[in-house]
This record gives sequence, structure tokens and C-alpha cells, in this order.
Amino acid sequence: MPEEKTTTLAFYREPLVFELEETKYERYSPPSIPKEIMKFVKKPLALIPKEMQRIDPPSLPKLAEFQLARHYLHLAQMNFTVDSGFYPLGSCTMKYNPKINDLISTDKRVAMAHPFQPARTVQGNIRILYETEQMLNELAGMARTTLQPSAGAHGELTGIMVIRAYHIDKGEGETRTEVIIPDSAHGTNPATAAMAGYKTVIIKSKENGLVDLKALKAAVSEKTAALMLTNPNTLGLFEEEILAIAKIVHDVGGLLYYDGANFNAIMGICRPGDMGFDAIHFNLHKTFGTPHGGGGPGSGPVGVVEKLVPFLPKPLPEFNKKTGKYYLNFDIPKSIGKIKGFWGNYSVIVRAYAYILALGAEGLKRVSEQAVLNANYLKKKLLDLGGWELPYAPEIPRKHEFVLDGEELKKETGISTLDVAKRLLDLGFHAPTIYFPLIVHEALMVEPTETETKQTLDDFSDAMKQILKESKENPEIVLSAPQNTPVGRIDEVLAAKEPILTWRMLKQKEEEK
Amino acid sequence: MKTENEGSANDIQKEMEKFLGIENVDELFKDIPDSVRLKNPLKLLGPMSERDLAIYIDKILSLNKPVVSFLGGGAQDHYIPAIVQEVITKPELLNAYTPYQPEVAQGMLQGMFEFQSLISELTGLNVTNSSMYDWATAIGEALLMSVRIMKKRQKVLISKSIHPDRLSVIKNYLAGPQIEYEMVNFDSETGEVDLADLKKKLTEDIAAFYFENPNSFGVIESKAEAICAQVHEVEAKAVVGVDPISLGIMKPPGKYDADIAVGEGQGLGTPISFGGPHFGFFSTNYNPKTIRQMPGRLVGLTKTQDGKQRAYVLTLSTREQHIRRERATSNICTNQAILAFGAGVYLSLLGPDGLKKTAEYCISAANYLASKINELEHFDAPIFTGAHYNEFIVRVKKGTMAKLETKLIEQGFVGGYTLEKCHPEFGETAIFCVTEMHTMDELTKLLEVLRVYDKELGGK
Repeated sequence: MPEEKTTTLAFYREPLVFELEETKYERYSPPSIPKEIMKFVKKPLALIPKEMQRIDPPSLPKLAEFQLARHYLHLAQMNFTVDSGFYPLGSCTMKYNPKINDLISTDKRVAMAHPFQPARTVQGNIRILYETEQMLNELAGMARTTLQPSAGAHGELTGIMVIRAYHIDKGEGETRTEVIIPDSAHGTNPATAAMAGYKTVIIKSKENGLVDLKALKAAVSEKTAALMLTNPNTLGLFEEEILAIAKIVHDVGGLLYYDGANFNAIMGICRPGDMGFDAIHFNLHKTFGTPHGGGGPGSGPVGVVEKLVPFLPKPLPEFNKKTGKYYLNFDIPKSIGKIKGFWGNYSVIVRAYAYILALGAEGLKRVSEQAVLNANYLKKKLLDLGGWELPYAPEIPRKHEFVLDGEELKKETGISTLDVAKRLLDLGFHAPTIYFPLIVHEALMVEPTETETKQTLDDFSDAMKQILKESKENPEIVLSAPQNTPVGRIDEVLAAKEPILTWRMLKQKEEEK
Repeated sequence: MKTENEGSANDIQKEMEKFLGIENVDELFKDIPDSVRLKNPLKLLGPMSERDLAIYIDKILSLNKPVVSFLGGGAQDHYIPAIVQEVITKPELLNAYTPYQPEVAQGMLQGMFEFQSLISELTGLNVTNSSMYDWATAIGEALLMSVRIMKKRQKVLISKSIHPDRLSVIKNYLAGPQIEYEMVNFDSETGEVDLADLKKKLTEDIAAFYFENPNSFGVIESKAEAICAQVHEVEAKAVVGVDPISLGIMKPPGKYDADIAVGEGQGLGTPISFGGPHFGFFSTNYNPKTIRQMPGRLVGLTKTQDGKQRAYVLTLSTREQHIRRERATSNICTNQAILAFGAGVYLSLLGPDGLKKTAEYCISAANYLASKINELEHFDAPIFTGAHYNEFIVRVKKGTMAKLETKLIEQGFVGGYTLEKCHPEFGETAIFCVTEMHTMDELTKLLEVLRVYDKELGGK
């Protein structure tokens, strides 16, 4: 065992793909135009009207495959991944993604099928859509679920648009103009509400970090379209008064929207549908073991209660019992229409389908239990080190994640949460989410997930212990971290002040100088 | 009987529980009121061993029928070079989150910067974001950005030759902020934008005009330059949707003065996957003011704080939801990163010559097929006189497209996409798409099926 954990990353100074040496040797060649076609068209370019022909070819690199293989291997080796180590990024659920799911998603029958193929040629694919929907309905306690949205935020937009359509249908579109959001919410919630044309009303959390019923009562009115909530919330605390919250919102004719980013905490334990929520989005790329791809793609299905079903995006997958055939139903007269092209991020959906089948009901419950056990174990380990506070209701168990406050540490040593995060990178860990939720100033938001061993949690705790010690005895090493990563701290101010967003802009800047 | 390993795992679990002073993990859920707790287990299939899972899903997928597809309409079958597939499945990239800690995500960030750069070379507009969900949502975002820039103008124009599904998505993006829209006709002969109708509708309250090139009929907008000039006369924004592969041979939007170019990136190395995930791209010219109105993530090139090394980082984030919340330019957060990364690999591998060759194959094979179909007595192809890229509308004058579809499926083909719902005025029509995936043999066989049907209808 090495004494100190260290980075798993390689260090390269990798040139841009535009800066690699041009080669003529064995470059990739697309297929040639068949002779018969060539004989017919003679000059392919002449098929384009003169004024629309490209005169200067695009300045793309001229490289051979072997150069690219090396280039991208170098890039990959500079990238931290959950396959290489602990990635406790709060609210992001960076669990291990089983390889079988990836393998299935690359099956030709998944990867090569065209969305416009007649249903009779894609019975298997529609059946997977259909069955995935059934499973998600059951998991959340919802009547129907659309699989169309591309990501969590996209699911939010879909859900709020469906709620909007419902109010309009009831003749209340003009009056219901507000969406209520707690101050602990994910940034996507207010951004979504604004995008859907709503005014956001922010309510302050109570001392115990939960929704303040008084504040909520004061905020709701006949103007309320919806309350957006995640439960457990971003502090990892379960809203125990959820039924009272739902009643307050429902009593004024508003609806409850569930942000499913934190669904990993409650599978098989409780369901948004039973808590009074009217709509929910899932993050398949968080909860259901589909890879996050360094930023995407995800998939954000939206489940709704019966009264919202008529407004869901179209089509919905259906099964005709008489014919025994699956089909896509476009005949949904009140549907909001489409929220993206085609039917959803299918190859992500297939992975989630496989994930759920592999685990079954019991397995999914174990996922949540282990995620919560790991979070509470690590929380206590870190609190025992001293230096960190657990703001808001410290006596209540957290769910899948917890938020520590480094305010005291900062006062005492000058070391901020950002510094701690950077030092963790040196020690071979990905940092937790920092400075979120906004209601905790020096927030360190830790979500270990279920796919970690106690050993890893202990190692992380040891690293945090070491950093605490360094903060007091040798703060310079923390302040100057990371030193043990492909690059040191980055000048983000320069990046925003003099933006260089493409190679072309880089060249322009170099020419100016 | 427990094996030794299970025993040790149980001990660890116990140790963790003991550390927390609890008897059982269930105690950690005691704050969840009984009234909302599940009383019965969920009704779900599974669990399954990995072998059983593989067999189960294989069985379901075998219900699909293997076909050669001539379908397009926003998702096209292009060849995916092996290295593209290899790179986008590397666990270092695939299983990472959004690069919030840039020091340990330089690989992803550099790849995204390269993607932004490569797309900008195609579009001739020097800024590209690091991807949108897909083409349709990228159009929605582009129109919203135009409206934000134009401030008081609350109306946009959209070319009528757009695919109805994309229009439906746009409508949802415009609905929240209550942006009005009006459709601009196409010329019924050429299939191109009707310039006179555009001119009539371009009033001082218009923020933007969206058109596609090639449009959803496969028709090349030969007067794109005049379109953009007209739009600029009322100081509105010209937004164009383009096919990235076509830009190997077609004039880049920057050269005909488009303000924003968007499009479907799926052809650049992303499998069709029954409709997703694909990715949208979004390009515009850098302007210190308007860049603040751009949606989506941007990767910037900068230096380390000691000034010694190049480094990449997500930048201009004050536009985004996690900072600006309800005043963000968009709520987009997760995008289509790994697929955009793969498109960077695709474009770097093909280079200018490879892209040109691919585009030439597409346009040549499509025009060849259209003209051969047109030779049949009961078929028209294409139905418009404008120049076509790689999609074209086929009309059957006597029979029905539904019958043809059945005959095609019997012979292992699908396509085209029938237009009976969106354009009944065209008659019995369907749109066909041809790419470099289609071999001479497949084209010949497809033609044979059409020829047989033509004969059945009484043709020679």
C-alpha cells in the first residue's frame, strides 16, 4: 500500500488536433462513388448551384488514424473518471455504470434503427420503450411517463410545460403566473420556470433546512402554477411534512413538481406519487447507471399523475392487446407536442432498462439503502475529524448526500472549501460539489453513492484528515494545490476576460500580437 | 451457508451501522413518515443475472426486423469509423461528469474545445458552444437568443419547408416567453424560400428568420445570400439550419452572412439509435455583447495561474443556470458532450478531403437515384425543380405510398418517410434519403422494387 494516495492521471502537454503534423500516409478514406453513378453525374460539385458551392475547403486537420489514436488516448489519460476513483460529486450521483448496459446499447438493433421506421420493423425497440415506461411509472407512483426529454433540466422544462398546458386547459393560464421554489433548489429549477414564462417566487428554508410551511402559505395564491421541490432536498434532508406541503399547494389549485436529481435516496422506500407530487423527472444518467459522458448525454423522462396525462409530449408507446403489437401513439389531441426530435435518448433508455432489470425491486431498494448508509457513515467520519460543521438539523440522518460547511475552517486557517477541493485532486480523489447549495456559504456537498467500499470512504476520510492537518501546519501546500495534476490552478478570470473559444479565435489573437 | 466473503461483507456492514450507533440501516429512514412509506415491494421484473439479462434483451431485440433504410428527416445513417466508436467508449471520458474540476478534466475540456473549433471551421462562424440536445432544440434556443438580442421584437419568422416535428419543438420553446411566429411560404415550383413572401412578412417587429439549407425537402436554398440580406434590411437575425457533412462542399453560413447556424450533428459519428441521443450544434460570430446571450456551455482556452501552461476551462458561466438561476440564458445543464467529442474525432479523421468525398457521395447517389425513379412512368422524383442535396421527395401518381412501403419492407427496405400527414397537398409522397452507406447494389435493388410496383400500376 502506498503511504499517500496520489493522482491516477497522466501528464501531457498535448497540442491541439490542429497543431499536429500533417501526414499523407494512410489517411482515412470514405467510400468512392460507384462508377455508374459517376458516369451519370460527371461532376458532383456541379449538382450544387454555383452561388452555394464551397470555394475554400474547411481548415480541418489532415491526420492519420494512428496520430489520432495517440492524441485521444493522451486526452483520456488526463481525465478523471469514476472508473479510476472516488467521485463524490454531490447531487450528481456518480455511481459505477455496469458495462453490460453499454454493451447492450451498442447492439446494432439498438444503434442502427431509424426512428421513422414503421412500427412492424421495430417491435423490439418500442417494447423496450413501453416496458421502461411501465417500470418508471411503478418506481415513482405515476400514471404515465414520457421518455422524450434529453436531460434533467429538459425534463423540468417538459414537466412545467405540461403543467402550464393543464392550467391553460382549465382556463387558468392567464392567472397562474408564478412558480414557487425553495432557496435550496438546484439552479435549473428557477431557470426552467423562467424559460416556461413563469415568475419565480423564492421561499426561504427553515432553520432545520426544510420548507417553511408558514412561508409557503404566505407565498401560495391563485397565481401559483406549481411548487418545484426535490425530496430529499439538496441538504440530503427528507421533507417530512411533505403531505402538508402538498396540501397547501393543492388547496390553491397549484401542482407539485418533483426534481428527480435526488431519486437515488428513495427507491423502493417511498414514491413521489404517494407524497402528493403531480409530476416528476428522472435523471437516468444519475440514478439508473447510465454514463454521464463527461457532460452528456443524459435522459430525463417525466412522469405525471392521471390528470396531466392528456398533455404529455407525443408520441407515447402503447401495446395493443388484440394484435399483440407495440406502437407509438401520436393521437394525443391535447399534447404539448414535441420537446425534442424523435422519441427520446433511446440508447440511454436501453441502458437504464437493463439496469433496472438486473437489480429488480429488491436490488433497487438495496441501492438506496447502501447509498444512504455510505453517506451517513462518511458524514460521521468527516465530522469526527473536527474542522467541519454540519449545518441544519445535525441530529437528523442525511439521505444519499450531505453538506458540510467550511466557514469555521476558513476563519481559523484561511483555507477555503475551494482550496480543500483542489487539494483532494492532488490526493487522487475527485472533489465533492462545492459552493452549492447556496444557503451554505462554504459548502462541501458529498454524495458517495452505493458503489463504494468502506475502504474507499475511509481513505477519503484519511485524505480529509491530512488536509485539515496541512491547513493548520502547512497551509501553503493546500493553497497552492493542485500540484499533482496535469495542470495546476487555472486562470479562470483570464478565460472570461479575453475569451478564446475556438482555434480560429486563438489564431486571430496570435495575429493581433 | 455463508461463504467466507459474504461473512466479511456482512461484518463490514455491521461495523458501519455500529459506527453510526444504529441496529439496522432502516433507522436512517426514520424521518420519512409512515404515511408516505411504501407498504409493499415495487412490482418490477428482475433481478436477473448478467447472462439472463443479455438473453432476455436479445430476445426482445430480435423482434426488430433488419432492414436497409432510406429514411432521413433529421437522422441519417452515416458510416461511423472505428476510431470514433473507440474513443467515445473510453471509460475515462464516458464515465466522467461535467468538467467542474478542470484540473482533472483537461482531456474532456480539450476535446470539447477542439469540437467547438472544428464546427466553427465548417460553419465559418467563429464561436460554437459545446453542444445542445439536438437540432430541434438548438433552433428553439437560437430563436430565443435572437429575441434576447433584439429586445423589444417579440416575433420570429420560420420557413414553411421545416419538418413538422422540429416546428413542434420550436413552438414549445417559444410558448413560455410568448414569442409569436409566422410561417414563410416556399416557392411551389422550386421548393426554395419564397423571397417575395419573406419580404412581405419581414416587418420591423421581427427578431429573426429561421430557414434550412438544405431544407427538409432536400432542396438547396440557392438564394441564401439574398435571404440573409433581406433579413438584415430590417436588422433582424438570420438563423440557418445546416447539414454538417454538406458543408464539406456547400458554402458555409458565415459566407452568406447568417448570424447563427445550427444543425444536427448526429451524422458526424453518432449512431442513429432509434432517435437519440443525437446532438445539436450552435455557431455564431464572436461579439462581446451578444456572446452573453448565448445558451449552453462554452469551453475556453486560458493559462494556468502561474502563466506557464495552456489550460482549458468552462467559461462565461455567468450566462448559465447554476449561477444566474432565473436570469440564465437557458436552463440547459447536461448536454450531449461525449457525442460532440466523437464528432471532433470524426472531423479530425476525415479532414477536408474526406468530408468532401463523403458529401459528394451523398449528393451524387441521391441525385442518381432520384433521376432513375423519375424515369418510371408513375413516379415523380424529385417533385421540386430546385437543386437537391441528399434527400428528395418521391410522388407516386397512381398507387399509394402505404402499398409501396409494404413492398419495400418485404424486400428488406424501409423508406422513405411518408408526407401524407404534413403535406397532403403534395399527393402520395415520401421523402428518401441517400448517404455514403448505400452501395450500388442496394440502390439497384431498391429501384427494382419500385420498377415492379410501377409495372403493377400499368407502367412499361
